[in-house]
Amino acid sequence: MIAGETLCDVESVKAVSDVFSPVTGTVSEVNEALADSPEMINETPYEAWIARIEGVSEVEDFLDAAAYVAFCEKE
Amino acid sequence: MEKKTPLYEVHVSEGGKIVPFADYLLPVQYPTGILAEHEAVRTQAGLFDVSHMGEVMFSGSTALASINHLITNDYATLGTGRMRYGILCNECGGCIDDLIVYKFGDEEYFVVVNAANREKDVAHMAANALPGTVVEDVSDGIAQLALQGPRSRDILSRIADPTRLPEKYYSFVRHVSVAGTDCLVSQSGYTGEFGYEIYTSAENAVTLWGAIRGAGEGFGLLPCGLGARDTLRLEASMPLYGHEMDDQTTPLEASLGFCVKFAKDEFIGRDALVATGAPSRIRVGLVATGRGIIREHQDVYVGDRHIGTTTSGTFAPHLRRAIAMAIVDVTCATTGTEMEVDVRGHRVTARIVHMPFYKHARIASATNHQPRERYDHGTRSRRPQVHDVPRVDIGAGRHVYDRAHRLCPGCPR
Repeated sequence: MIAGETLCDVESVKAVSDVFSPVTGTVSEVNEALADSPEMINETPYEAWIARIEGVSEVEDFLDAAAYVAFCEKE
Repeated sequence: MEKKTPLYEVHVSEGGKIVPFADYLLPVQYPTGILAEHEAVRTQAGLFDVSHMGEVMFSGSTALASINHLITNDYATLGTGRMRYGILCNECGGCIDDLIVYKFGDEEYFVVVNAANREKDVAHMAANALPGTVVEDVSDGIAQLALQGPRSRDILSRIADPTRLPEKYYSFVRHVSVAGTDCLVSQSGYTGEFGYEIYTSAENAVTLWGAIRGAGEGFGLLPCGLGARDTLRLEASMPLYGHEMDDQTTPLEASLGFCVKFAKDEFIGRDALVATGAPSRIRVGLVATGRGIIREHQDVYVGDRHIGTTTSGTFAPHLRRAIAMAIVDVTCATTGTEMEVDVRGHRVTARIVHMPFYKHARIASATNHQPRERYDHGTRSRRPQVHDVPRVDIGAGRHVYDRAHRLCPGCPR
């Protein structure tokens, strides 16, 4: 998995959206429960993990949850 | 430059997410979201701004003859106060638009067309109407709201005299006073639920919307956008121009043969349709049996054989299944046939089911006659009659019974 590549897609009633991998590495594990209960992403976004990526290289500076909320409020 | 309906500011103030559609700016959903809006229409009521639709008046001594020349259905038998669905065809039998004709009088017909096709339709109608018919595009002065759902009659009865509301499906009453505004009320809609389409002058639109919203408060009425409009019509297997039919698709291929009356002496496209004969491809309803959501423009296969393309698809919010419509090779178009759809590179299994996917229960409070002709599902099997088709029982938990291959959420996949 290379940073920027599509990790998975999320389907809603009207649209399909790609989720892009933020890092380069190897996907070691996938949360199978999500396939049966995709609503976990809406209901518990901080607990419903999508994939475990190992051997991570090319890490950028990412926003943490608080910084992201602040970023959204500025927009 | 996109146009706005008279209700644009209202949609914005209600938090509507505005998108461009057919040259208009309209809400695709409100903060409630498509799923809640869809369910509101299925269980209580929803209100849609459909003012973008086009309205054309045909008047004159040859108005009926012009309508019958232009449109596939037979309007000679249409009574005043009744409406009838039809297709505007081109010379090759392809569909220019689908529309509904309202008979105001022997020399006055009111035709409602899709917003996206309005200019094209009016040009075609004006060019092909018979001498003695005046064709007038009256769309800009008219606003239209759709009030849909089992509580529609209760809501409308609070702001209009219930004895003046249309009692039969596909009938209408003119000059009904709704909260003091002069309206045409028809018992019709594009959701597969009991409901009304209400026409008024553009100046009255905001007043009318507010009055219906107010009257609907105790009944769970939600304002609904284009997103729910699409999921509702798809769940009810209603075709959408540009998807199930276009100028390269005939009404027969779209399984709309019920509104094509070959017994008429002539209409534009009749010769081409007769020459083509029985269609080689036909519209069917699909339910996904594997995991995935089928969307439009996806290829349909039986084994390695490409047999058609999907025309619409979504995850049906009320039935809670991935459903789609497709136009496929008629030799494969039998209910129960298993097929696969290529969804973004991987194959999703699907099965042909009877249409409509969803059918609402009879509403006890009004005489609600189902139209005698339903969409032809294009198979050779006996079409289920209205009285022997189990319906969604809205009162008792919305269970859809499975009958043969009919859609059922409890069905094993």
